[in-house]
Amino acid sequence: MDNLRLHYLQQLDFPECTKVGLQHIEEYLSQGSQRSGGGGRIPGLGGSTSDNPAQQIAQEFVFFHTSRRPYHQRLSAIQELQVLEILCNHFHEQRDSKKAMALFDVLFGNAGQLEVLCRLVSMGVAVQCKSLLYCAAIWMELQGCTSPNPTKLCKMLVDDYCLLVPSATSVLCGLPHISRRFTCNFMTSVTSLYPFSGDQCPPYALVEMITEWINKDPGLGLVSLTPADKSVIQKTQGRYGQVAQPWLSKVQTPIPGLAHWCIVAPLTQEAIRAKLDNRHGETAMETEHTNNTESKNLQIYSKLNVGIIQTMVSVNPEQSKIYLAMQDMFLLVKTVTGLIQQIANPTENDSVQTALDRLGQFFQVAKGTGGLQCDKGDLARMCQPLPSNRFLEILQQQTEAS
Amino acid sequence: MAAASDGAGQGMVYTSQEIQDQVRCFVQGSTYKSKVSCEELAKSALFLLRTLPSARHAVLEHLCTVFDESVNTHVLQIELGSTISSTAMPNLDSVIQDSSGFLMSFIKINPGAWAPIISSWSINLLGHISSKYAERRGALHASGFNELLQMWMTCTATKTLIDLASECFASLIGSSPDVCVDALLEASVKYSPHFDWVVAHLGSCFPQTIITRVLMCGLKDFCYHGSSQSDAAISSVQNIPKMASVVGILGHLAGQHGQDIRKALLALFRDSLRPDAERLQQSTTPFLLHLASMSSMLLHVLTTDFVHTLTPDILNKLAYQFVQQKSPSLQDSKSLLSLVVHLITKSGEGAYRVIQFLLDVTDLNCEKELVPEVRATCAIILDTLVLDLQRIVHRRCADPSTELPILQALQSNALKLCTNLVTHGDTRQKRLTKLLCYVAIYSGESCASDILAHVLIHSREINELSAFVQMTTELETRYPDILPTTVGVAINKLQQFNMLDGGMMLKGLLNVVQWERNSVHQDSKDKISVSRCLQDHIPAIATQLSHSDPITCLAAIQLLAEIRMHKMSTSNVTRICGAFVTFFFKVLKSKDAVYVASALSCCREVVKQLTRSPTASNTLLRFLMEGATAEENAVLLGGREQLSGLSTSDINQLEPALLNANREHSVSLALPRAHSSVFHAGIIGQGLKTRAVGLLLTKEKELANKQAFLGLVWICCCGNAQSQNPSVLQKDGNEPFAGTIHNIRLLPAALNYLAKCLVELTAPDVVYNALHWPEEEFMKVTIERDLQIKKTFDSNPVLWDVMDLISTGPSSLCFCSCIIRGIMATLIAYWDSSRDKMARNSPKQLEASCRLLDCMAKDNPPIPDTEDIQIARDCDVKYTQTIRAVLHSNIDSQGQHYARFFSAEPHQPQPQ
Repeated sequence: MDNLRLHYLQQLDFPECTKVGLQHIEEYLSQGSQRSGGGGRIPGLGGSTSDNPAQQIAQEFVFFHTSRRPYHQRLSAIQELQVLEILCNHFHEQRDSKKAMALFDVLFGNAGQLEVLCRLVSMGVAVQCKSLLYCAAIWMELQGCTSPNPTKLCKMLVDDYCLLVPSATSVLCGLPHISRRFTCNFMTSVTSLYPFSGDQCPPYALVEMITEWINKDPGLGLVSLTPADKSVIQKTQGRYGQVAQPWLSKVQTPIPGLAHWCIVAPLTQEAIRAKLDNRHGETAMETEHTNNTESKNLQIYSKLNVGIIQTMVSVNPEQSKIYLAMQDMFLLVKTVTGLIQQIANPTENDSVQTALDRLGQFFQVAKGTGGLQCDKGDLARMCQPLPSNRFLEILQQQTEAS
Repeated sequence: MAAASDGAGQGMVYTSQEIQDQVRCFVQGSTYKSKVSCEELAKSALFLLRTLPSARHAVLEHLCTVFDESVNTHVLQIELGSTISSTAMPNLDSVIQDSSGFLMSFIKINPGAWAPIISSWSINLLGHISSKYAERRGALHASGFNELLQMWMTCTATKTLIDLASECFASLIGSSPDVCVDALLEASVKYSPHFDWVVAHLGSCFPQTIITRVLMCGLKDFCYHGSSQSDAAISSVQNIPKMASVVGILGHLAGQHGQDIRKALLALFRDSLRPDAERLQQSTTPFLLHLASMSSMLLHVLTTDFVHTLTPDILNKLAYQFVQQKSPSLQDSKSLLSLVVHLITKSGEGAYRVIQFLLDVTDLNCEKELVPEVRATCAIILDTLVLDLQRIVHRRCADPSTELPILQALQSNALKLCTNLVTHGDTRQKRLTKLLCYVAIYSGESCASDILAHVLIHSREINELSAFVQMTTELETRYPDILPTTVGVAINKLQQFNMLDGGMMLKGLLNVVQWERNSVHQDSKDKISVSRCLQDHIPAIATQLSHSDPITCLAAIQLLAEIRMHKMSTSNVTRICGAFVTFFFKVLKSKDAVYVASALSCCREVVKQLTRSPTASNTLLRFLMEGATAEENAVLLGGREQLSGLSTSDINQLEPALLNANREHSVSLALPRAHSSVFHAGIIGQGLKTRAVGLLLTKEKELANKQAFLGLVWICCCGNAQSQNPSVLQKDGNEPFAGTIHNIRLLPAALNYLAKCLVELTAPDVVYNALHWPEEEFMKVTIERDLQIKKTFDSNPVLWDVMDLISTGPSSLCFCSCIIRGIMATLIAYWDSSRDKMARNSPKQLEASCRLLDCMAKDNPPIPDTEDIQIARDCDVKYTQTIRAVLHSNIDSQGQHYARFFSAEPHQPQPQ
């Protein structure tokens, strides 16, 4: 029967065969779920992909990666766009999120078609394809938001919408309206994409966008804490078994990453300024330009800081225990210390003080909302390599007193 | 641009539905599923470009077809003439402009993100288009780079594309040039050679980056092919596709960016020698050589600039590198060497430096610390080169059109090479000699003679002489008349103004001439020899006798002594004699005994040569006499009257400096606008020049001088006669007065001439000089003149000796009768009035009287011929009375003389 299906598909012309192929995959999957319900195949031990007719169809009629049809060796960019359009439409029309996820898993589950996935998601953002983005969000969670593939996907989105086509940034701005879950995961990924090492700052447009999102919707950063519908991911468990099982312990939120941004940003700013000062012979215009961007950056990061704190405050007590670990704090302190060492006179530097203040605030709020479990010694150990800061000292005294 | 600005503008938010519609429209249009107008399609494409980032690949792909179509139209127009108007694709140009505007604005807004995408897109498209339409160009196909460039630049589509590409390059060149250059080179390889115009155009916009990268790319390719084809690699280098491209591109850029190319090549080379060089870099040198073999421009760079960098250190490194490279099979290194040799023969301007370099390296004497392998390799290269050149040069005789750049270039440096030959001894002589021969053969007779002449006049050692001889023999096979021409050139050089090393040049000539004399081959009279050639240039050599440098003079006289002189024109004879006599007296002034001796012996030789012709001997005699009586020379020959009472100082200062200065001018040719004479009366401010006076010479020196002088005079008088009897010649060469004088018949004519000369120089005016004894009354008139004659004799005692010589002739003395009479009259007057008891008390007068009588008492009475004897003897009785009385009273002892004075019949009347 499978061979018959393939043969039939081979008779069709290009756009048609893809469309029909997708239907066939869905049909197969729905049958398969019944079959697997019957215990036909053990999940997780499901043999090689080539045995799977759904995979076969996907490879041959969606990605056209097959040796059997030499005349279709490679799709042209326009044809690829056609495929993307078809896929988008298909996901758009697929209201059943379970089926959509199953299809998504067949297509992109093994991450072999990352590039197509990136383009597809990029297009999905533009055409506001909700189910597609929901699937992508789940996929990201399953892969781990900060792991290479999702990061690559996010980078592609940032490149597309923030760097290449600035006029389309507004499209990305509407992301929370399409999928809050995807937005949340996107933020998590993006923070790991731009770790503020050296001069590599996130694009201003991106920071601005995230700030706006967070300030408008404090709960956005916590969406990933809400577990996804088990039935949706059930189908894919076989593939990500080890990840999916301890679901809650592995969950990631954008909060540590964003806090990292806010705390480190003033220090990086300082480093950049020092570098520019060393490089003399700058025109007045350039100086003015850097000053402008600097003040803009300062503003945006303090706004973002406020947003994060609001988010943390709005944390649901049941979820609070899991969004932050003391380990994250130490890592953060290590980065901060490293950056501070490059600054000439840390104790009297405004930027350093700002950074330390924010660190203190973050610590305080995290502890206050129960997101951080720590004892007295932890704080002392945390503050020990840092230069003196009034706020941190007060915090330490408070902790000792309590 | 208008479209671009509002397209890129912010704030336009499109609904997802709109975007979806546009996607559908675009896909339908571009896949020709449904008919969508061109403008529609373009509109939606640009819409997607700024709203749907993921669609940009598709949009760019679509733009490819648009551009392609536009080019197609353009090419069609060219092929069919402009009959096809742009009606077929009316709006293609505007679409292109719009989209390029968009892309430009993207590049401007965010170069870091867009430039790599657009540059690779535009470059690939350009490559695709240019190779696709390469065959279509038809008539245009034959044209070169520039016309190709012209054609593509007139096409809107390609021009837009290349503008886009260069915009991308401009924005990326500062930050990450590699990104765009790599794309460019990839395309270049893929679409070569049709793509070269793009690289060239972009290259001229960003020369440095492109040049460096192109070279690197070529190197990689070379390496790859070299390793993959192993043995056959070198021979099939021409087949490596990228090499041709690289050369083409560099060639195109050479015009304007030659300096950059030069720098890049040098940098590449330097990098390859760094200790941490990779395997790739290590094959830089073969790569560069192959590049050079494909382009004369690069070869030029290689030969001019690289040779300077090849210090011993670098050479050693290179050698090490080659040893280290495991692969080079024998075949490989052989072909590489032959390539090097081939390149050298092709090299132009830098050829001299290259040769020089090779010679330096192979020279064992040079102190550079070189690995033996380097030296050996260079030697092999040189030897192969010489062999090759020989083959080519001789083959060229049959076909003169063959060009040989190396010889062409060496031609202008031939003289430097010659100097090299002369200065560096025999280590490099063999090769240099051969090389020079080929240069000479290649560049024609005049150049050949120049080279030979240079070698000739600079040869001092026997080695160089042998080089000259070798070259002559080799060249004579080609140019039979080379030797006379060469000698002419050499002599001309001698006369060049301000030639300082004239002495050296003459020495060179002398060496050759001497060698010729000694060599066995000279037996064959037919052979043209240098000395025979020099015969035509005797006057020129003679002028060198007036040179201020004694060494030069000596060399000149030595040379003259070696040459057999033949008939010369009177003016030449005069010149030679004049110069010679001046020189002779200069020699006498010299204090260096060795110098004097060698010079004098040469002088005698020269005189012997000169006196072959009577004219010459007469002229010489006259000049000698004039010289001897000249005030400045008198002192040399014993004259001392004027000197008495004057202080002593250097004898050289005795010379009239002005005369000397003017004489010097004769050494060289008079150039236009140069002084040919000096007028000089002293230095302003010092008043008139004070007369400087020389010191008194010793008696011995005086005597020697006199001897030398008289020796020359004597040789003159001998004429041809003595030269046939060498033994005598040898003997009296040393001592002319030693009794042999009577064994040799001096030429009466010469003696007569000498006598006349003497009269002319001593007698102050035109006087009675007949044989007959003048009237007594007349004698009274001549007292002043007599005194003058006597005074001249006193101040030039050498004249006595000359008179002695004259008196040996059969009848020459009678030409001096007026002198004899004058002196006699003076002496008689003195003795008449002398009141001294002893004649010894007035030694001078006594000596003069004795010498006069000696002269007169020689075997030959002062009577020219027998007819006149009667007349002479028939003098007034009153004069003979005293003698008669003396004879009478001593008849017992002096009787035999009676017949000499008195005829047998006394008082016989004079036959009238």
